[in-house]
Amino acid sequence: MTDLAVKKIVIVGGGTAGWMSAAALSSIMGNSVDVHLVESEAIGTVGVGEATIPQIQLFNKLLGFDENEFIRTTQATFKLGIEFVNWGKIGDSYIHPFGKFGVDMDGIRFHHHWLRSRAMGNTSPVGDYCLQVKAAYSQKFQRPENIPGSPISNIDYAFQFDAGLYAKFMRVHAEKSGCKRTEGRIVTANQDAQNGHVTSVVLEDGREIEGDFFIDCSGFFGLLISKALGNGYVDWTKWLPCDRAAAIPCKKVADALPYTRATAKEAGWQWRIPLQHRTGNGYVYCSKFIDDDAALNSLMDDIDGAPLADPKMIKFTTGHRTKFWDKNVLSLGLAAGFMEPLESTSIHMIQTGLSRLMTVFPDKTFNDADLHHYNAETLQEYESVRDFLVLHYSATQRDDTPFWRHCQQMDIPDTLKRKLEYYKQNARIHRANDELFTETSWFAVMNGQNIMPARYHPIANQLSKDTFMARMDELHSVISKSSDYMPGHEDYIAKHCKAQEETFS
Amino acid sequence: MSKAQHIIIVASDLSGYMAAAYLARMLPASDYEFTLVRAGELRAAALFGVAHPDLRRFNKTLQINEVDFITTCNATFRLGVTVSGFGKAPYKRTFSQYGVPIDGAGFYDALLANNHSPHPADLEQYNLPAAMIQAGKFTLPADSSKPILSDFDYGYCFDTRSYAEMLCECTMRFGVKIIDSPSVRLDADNTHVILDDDRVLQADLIVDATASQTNVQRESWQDQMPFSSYTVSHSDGGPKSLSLAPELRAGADIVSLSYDLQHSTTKVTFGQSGDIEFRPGRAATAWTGNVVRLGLSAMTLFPVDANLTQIAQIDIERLVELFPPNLSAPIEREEYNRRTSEFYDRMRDFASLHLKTARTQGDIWDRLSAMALPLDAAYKLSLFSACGRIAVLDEESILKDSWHAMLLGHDIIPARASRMAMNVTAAQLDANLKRLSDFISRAVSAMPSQEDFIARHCPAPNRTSR
Repeated sequence: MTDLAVKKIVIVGGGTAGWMSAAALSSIMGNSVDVHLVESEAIGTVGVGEATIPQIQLFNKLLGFDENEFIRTTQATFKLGIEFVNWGKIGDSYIHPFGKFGVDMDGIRFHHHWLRSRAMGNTSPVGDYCLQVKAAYSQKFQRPENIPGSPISNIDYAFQFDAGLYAKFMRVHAEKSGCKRTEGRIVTANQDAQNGHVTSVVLEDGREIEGDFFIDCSGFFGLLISKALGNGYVDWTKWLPCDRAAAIPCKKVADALPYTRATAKEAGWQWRIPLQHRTGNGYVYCSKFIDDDAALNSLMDDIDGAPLADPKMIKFTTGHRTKFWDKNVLSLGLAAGFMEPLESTSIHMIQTGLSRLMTVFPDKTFNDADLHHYNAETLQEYESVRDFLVLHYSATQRDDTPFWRHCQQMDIPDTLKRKLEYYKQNARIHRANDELFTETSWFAVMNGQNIMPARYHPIANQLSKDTFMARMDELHSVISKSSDYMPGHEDYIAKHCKAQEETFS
Repeated sequence: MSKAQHIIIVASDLSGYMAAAYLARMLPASDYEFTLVRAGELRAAALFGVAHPDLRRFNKTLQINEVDFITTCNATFRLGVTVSGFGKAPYKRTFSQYGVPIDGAGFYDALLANNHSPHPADLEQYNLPAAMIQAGKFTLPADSSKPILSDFDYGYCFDTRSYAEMLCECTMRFGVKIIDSPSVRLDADNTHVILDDDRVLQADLIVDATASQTNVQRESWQDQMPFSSYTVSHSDGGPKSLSLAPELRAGADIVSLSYDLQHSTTKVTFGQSGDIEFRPGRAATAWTGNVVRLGLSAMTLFPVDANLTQIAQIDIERLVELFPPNLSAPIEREEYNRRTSEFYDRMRDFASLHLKTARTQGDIWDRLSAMALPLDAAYKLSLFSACGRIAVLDEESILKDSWHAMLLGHDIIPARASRMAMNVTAAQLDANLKRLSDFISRAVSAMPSQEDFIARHCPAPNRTSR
């Protein structure tokens, strides 16, 4: 058993994915395995200011980070959800929150009850029944506080941070746990003549780095998973047509909002990610409908502070590798696949890839059962995220530009069709295989983009009209009062986790 | 909705009584009318007399008081199942985990990495309910969160007929009309029910809990569960100790399931020459037209996990969760069927692996060990054998820990442990095991026996079982 054990892991590439892998693997398995990362400073990384989802707290906890220190060193702010502007129609806006709407009653989801109240004439938007939404719009934040029965005891949150600083933070942690780093550009890989496994990578200067197991974090290029092992790429552009992004940081001109904003524009959408020291912006667009210059002008028109750097132009193809894990090479991050950051899933998918790897960590036989398990679960995750992203584009009433007309008519995956059909009839939300986005998330977007179901769950009629309306009013007021109780977002940061002016870099 | 919709539940096995009470409790009385047709004597009563912890949630929703339930139904507490004759030694599956994670590594991984036996028979001192079953001790889980002491869960063994009567009282309280009709026919287009006095009842939805297996196309599981009949015997108990877990026992050509109630013992023996026919399998589609099948008419499972009552409950809760606002050609029907089939197939996987991996001697077992497994079950077995992981599939309700205990209990040992366990040293493991078994044995010795606990809180009047 021992001679089959993996002794040396080589991580190829030092962006967000590479350093997250290095930090996780060296801190969990550092005693029994050598972790070695190869990167070249000459090759830039794509990371441009990252927004995350609450699951990142698990990762931080596993690695033993102090959350306040993590926030200070990455210039992070708190995030309660994502605001979507102009997606259904121009002038619309809604928040997809990291927390439930209302409370479930009689064993069924709150949204059915809200739909009943709406049919009875209630005009309050569903966001009025969600603390995260209310607090986000009022620029409030606090971590959960143990007040029994109060929504304040149950605040889910994530972070918005500087991806460059995040990778550095991971690097410090990884090197502390014994990860070795080699600077150099990899030119080729050696493979075993018999089984095709990668045996070593070769650097420009002739140095050779051997390993038992390789993690390919080389970005879009896929140095090992694609170039060496010849794995193809499944292109999802027909469902998610955007293929470029222009990104630029700008000066912070107002208090940082506790949420990310995604504004739909003529041929794509623009993100706005407020950090402690600056604001990240980027325009994700479809090159078939707008050229690079026009996109850049549009981006610059819609930033609210002076630019702090030259814009960065990124080309991408949405989709994934045919195999995420092949032979002794596992791909993570952009080497595994790409989906636009509309729902802030990139870092999360690196994290789930790592946790899946830990549960089926291989030995040198790299047996099929492990690989199959990993690949099947990863594909499922990619597909469910894809469907959720496609929903944002297809559930639009916009027809003001050729891009949006295209989105309205675009064919969508069957799994999504089914979900939509299911919701439209009786407000049901079908969640398969424990998929990442919950019923709350699907409801937030479908409702936020004006899809109205024909009916709702029959059990929602269980309570008498008066009792029901009294309960809804009470919920509404509990949410308002709770939001009033919370401190301002900037005040909370100032008190607990304000970054120093100079961060380590 | 202009006019109330009419739902008829035809009940021959317990699932029908459960459904009538639950549907009437959950659906608004202003919009629905319910009729419960009691179709003859309760069928398969002995098979339904063992409940998982889920039943407590069910009873709570129906406002059935726990003490009333126990005293009326002659019930005992159930902490799991004892499995004998399947592996090298008898072992227990409980409703909670064996051991605790050690330094981030799973309990079994830490054992494997240190060459400690992972067979559940060797681990009873590391699982509180297993130690309680062994000692015959019982107390309720601690209500505030205390590690281990609040982490275990319990169900019951109970008298099904008394429970059916309790459920009838509930249904009356919830406004259900009850009709007795020893025989019942469904007409061909499934929109009405014909009673034995030839009265015809129109329905918008019919719940078929008739235990009949002839009305619909079925998928047979007889190859994987080759026991075609069973017999039931009851014995009235004198003073004796009450078991906290039903026992599933494999013999050369039979399998028996026996369990104690407060004043009687029930034993069901499965084989080839019993007096009651048993045909494992499931309806190809549980809900067709406006007939939803429940209980044995939807699925008949070889009860290795003693969970037919749990299965009925999960089906009923799923039906309510997906209950369509409009009963003509609802979109929810397809979803109900998809989820139900998945759920049944996961149960089938567990039962077929349970029987196939048994190390019992005998013709039937030789045939079983040569049997080809369903694909998903085969995948589960190969993944577990390679690396000790359990592939949890959609709609699975079998606990991960039950899978572990079953496979390890049948001596299937993974080829290797997770690498996360490599850092766990023998000394660290021993210290953890010692601490845990000390804690558990102290906790168990402070508990009353089940007999004392029952005598104090919920004794059932002594009457002869029926």
